[in-house]
Amino acid sequence: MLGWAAGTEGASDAKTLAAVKEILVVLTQTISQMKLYPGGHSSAAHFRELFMDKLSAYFRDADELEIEILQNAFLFEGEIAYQDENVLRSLPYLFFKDGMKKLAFLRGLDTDEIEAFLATVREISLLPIDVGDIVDALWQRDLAHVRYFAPDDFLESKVTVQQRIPSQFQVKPEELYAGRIDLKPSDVAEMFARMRSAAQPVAQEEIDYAARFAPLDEAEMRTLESTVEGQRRIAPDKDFLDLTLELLNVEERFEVFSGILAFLKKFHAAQLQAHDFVHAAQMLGQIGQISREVEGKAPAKANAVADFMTDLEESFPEKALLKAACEKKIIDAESFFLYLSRVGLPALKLGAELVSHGPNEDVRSRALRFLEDMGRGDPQALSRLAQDSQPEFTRIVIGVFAKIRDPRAIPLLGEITGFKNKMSRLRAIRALAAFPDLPAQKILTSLLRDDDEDIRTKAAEAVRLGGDPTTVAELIQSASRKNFLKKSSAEKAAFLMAIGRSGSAQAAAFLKTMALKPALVERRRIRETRLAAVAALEAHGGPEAIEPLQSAARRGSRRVKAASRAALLRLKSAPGEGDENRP
Amino acid sequence: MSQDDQKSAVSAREAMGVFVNFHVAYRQARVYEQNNVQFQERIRLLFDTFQKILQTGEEVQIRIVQDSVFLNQIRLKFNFSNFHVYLFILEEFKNWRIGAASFLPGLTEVEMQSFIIFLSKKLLPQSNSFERLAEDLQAAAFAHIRLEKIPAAEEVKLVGQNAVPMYFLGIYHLKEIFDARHGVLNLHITKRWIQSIVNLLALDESILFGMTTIKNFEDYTLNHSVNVCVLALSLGRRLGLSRRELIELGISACLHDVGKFEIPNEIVDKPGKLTSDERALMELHPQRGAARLLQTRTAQDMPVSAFVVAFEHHLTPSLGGYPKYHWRRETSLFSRIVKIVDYYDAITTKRVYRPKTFTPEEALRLMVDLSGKEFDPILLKAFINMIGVYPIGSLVVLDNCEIGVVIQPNANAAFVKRPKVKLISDTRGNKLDGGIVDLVEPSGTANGFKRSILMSLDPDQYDIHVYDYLLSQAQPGAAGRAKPEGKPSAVRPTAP
Repeated sequence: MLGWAAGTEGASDAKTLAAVKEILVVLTQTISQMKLYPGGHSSAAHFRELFMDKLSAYFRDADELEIEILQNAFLFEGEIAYQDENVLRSLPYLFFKDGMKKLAFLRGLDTDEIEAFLATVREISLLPIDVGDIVDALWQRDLAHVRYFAPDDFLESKVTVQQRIPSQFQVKPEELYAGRIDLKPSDVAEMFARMRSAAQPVAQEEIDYAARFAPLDEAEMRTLESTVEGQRRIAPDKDFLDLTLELLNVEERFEVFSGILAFLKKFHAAQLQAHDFVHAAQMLGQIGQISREVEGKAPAKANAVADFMTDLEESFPEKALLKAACEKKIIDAESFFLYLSRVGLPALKLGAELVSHGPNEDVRSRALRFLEDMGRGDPQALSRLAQDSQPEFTRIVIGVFAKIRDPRAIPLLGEITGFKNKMSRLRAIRALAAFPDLPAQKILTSLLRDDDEDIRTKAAEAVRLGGDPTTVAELIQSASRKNFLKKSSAEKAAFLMAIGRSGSAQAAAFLKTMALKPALVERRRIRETRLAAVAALEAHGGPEAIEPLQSAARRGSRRVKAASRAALLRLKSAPGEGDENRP
Repeated sequence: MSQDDQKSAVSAREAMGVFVNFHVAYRQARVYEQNNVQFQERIRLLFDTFQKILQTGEEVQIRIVQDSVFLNQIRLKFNFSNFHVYLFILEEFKNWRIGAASFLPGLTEVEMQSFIIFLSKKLLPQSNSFERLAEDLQAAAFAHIRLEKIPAAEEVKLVGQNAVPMYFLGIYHLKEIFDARHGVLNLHITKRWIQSIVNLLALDESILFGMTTIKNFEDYTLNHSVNVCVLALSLGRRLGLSRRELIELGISACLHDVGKFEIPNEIVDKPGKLTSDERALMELHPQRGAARLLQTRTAQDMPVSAFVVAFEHHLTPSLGGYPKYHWRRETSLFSRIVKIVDYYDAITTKRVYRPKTFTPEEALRLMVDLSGKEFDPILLKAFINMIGVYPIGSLVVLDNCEIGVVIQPNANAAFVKRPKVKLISDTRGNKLDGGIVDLVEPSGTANGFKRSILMSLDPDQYDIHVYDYLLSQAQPGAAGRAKPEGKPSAVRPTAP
């Protein structure tokens, strides 16, 4: 700061001095209150308003209020206007330590400026004494009606200056202006040439050249202004991250490369804490690219990146993020889920939690889409979420597998059918039903022998036996046993339907025997078995099923006859359909 | 609507209109006769804007507070398009020691016109400028115009007395910073130093511009970094950057070459051509610099732009140059600024590997040829508008054969070739402590100027340190501006 002549010294009148004393007391009280309480607190607001009122009253009779700053006191026109015994904690010291000698408020100071001034003082007073710099802070605030004087000798005291003006630059005018300047012949020649050409029309080249020095035109000024504005719109965090990643990409020294990674790790943690997932996601994406590029080319760097990713995985703050998401502290859900997708496996559990406990439908559906995307990429990884003890996660995983229909999910669903949790098993069976693939059918077939009736029944409902005569034969054999009749009606129906859906001649023949199964006394078990066989023949639907149905319509019990006729009618009313639908 | 707008009957935009019209009328009054049509039109425009305010019962007051210009209580924010207006008003007011000029209700157009002519044509006395102006003003009986002297608190010491030691302090400070190597960078001091430089630039750019003609003091990179900082800050001010942005730009400029300290001295200072390996190593300095800034302990307090500029200052607008970007698609504004001033300062500096330097004029010609390819063309133009075609420190021969040193660019970009020149020799080559001549001074003939620059000279060829002349201007008692110029003659030189 440049010089400021000494203020007019002299005794102020008692009334003015008293007013200034009051202003300064209120100023210190205001800062104390602002340090203690948050911005909107009534006590801080009260003092702030009081300070503004006192200043306004002062400016009714004066153009400026200038105070001199001592270590622990403010002076007004040479008189102590405020003093604090505790030097280091005093307000004057806050200004004094940074070299400020005078501070003045000028008439015209408005509310915004006062607020800004107080906020600046508060901010600096909260910092460690050797960190904050009130002069720097006020200078940067650029308040129009606050003036201060901090002479440059403060700065000179902080820098080792050998000579304020080095001796070789101490000019002696008597030497400077003595002697002659004799132009070199080449310069003289050039001079004459220029003098001659000055009389000539200016060459086009010179005109073009001069045009490039012309003042900026309107369009250029607008471009310049928009460039400045554009620069202001760049978020410093993004700029910093972009640059750091570029640096990481070009850095050839391993120890520096590692250092940058370590720095990025801290940066990442800070971003997560601030719930800034845009940059966190960007960082992981670009490090992923670097990882692919260094792989094979620079093993040490590749290992460092791998370690970095492992660290990230291990320190993934799943619980904190879940809490933040559930408390709706994460504003940018899109970036959040993009980040989770970049994190990958460690974020799966969080994703599953959010499907179940997300704070709103948007988050829940985004979480589900995240898991689906993860499942498409790596079903095996997703399946790790499915555990016997975690039926809710298992349900979600099964749902995802059912939706993505990736054959790689079949054995994983098969594993779930082996869980103890029956609901999980049943859901897995239902999901497997959606897969026409042979491996899925094999799993379902194996479940037909399960100990649990519900499992067997659901497996039978789900299984498609087409093209697998051995399994059909096994099923027929199983259904032929005496105890088959003792099974529940649902299981029997499911088994017979499964046989019928196989569409084989062998199945049709067996179902015919079941539909016409003789009995001395028509018990419920027999009746429902016969009727289930008729339904299964209808499900068969092929030419081989027609004759058995016709036979049943002629020879069966009353109910079987009726059911068979109805089935035949339905089959006839859908000509050709049977052929198309045959498995 | 901003707080400022609510304070007065006049909006910030209208206030800016007042300043622009005032500036143009003032300049026209110097050149044209009172009955000139353009001048009359401008006076009318200015009076209309004055009237709008005066009719509300308010006075129109132009006030200078430190480096700010106020209209009533509105502080004017200047940008590139009107920065010259700001400089002009600030300089005129400070020269006359005017703190405020008030135009009161009842002002007539004739009175206002007469006042502008009176002030613009008046010669600045060597001392007591305000008192003498006030006496004359009283005699001229301007009833509705009141001037206030700049308050004692606003009086500053001669800028040069602060600027010169502050310039060297910057070099010493950077030395401490760079010597700290991987230790703590004390950016508090850097910030305070930058503040001082910005304050000094606001008061008088020319002295600091002149200081940038000092090269290779202590260490090339240190001296160069300070020069780059000064020039970048000056350009940044013209672009309307806020103080916070200027601090960031200043730090970035100071540290842009920090990576050179990571390259062996025998390569950095190698006389002659570098081998391809050495060149490759040298070209690592931007990324080494950025990495070093990242590693230093104050990285968290370091403005992001410092990393960016250290990394980007050898990249072209189309991302040519080095190092190469993988993801980013453009360079930052600060990098583009630093690239221009870095290049300019570098090629005008003598180095072991570059014994022949470019004169400032030659340097700008070269840079103009590279405009668009190497430099942002609009920023380069803005830079040239700022320093002039003959930048401060140019040793020039005038068309009357006098020799001088350019000491101040013309604030008006329309006159980039017409700076103020300190005469150092007469027409016969005899050295003299000549006056300062303003090359926009008309000759009295139609469209003619009293003096023009014929060509620039290479000071090294004449063993002249132009900074000596500039430093002498900054010394106590060398205000210079008021010194009567040497009388030009028509004598032509003869070849030695």
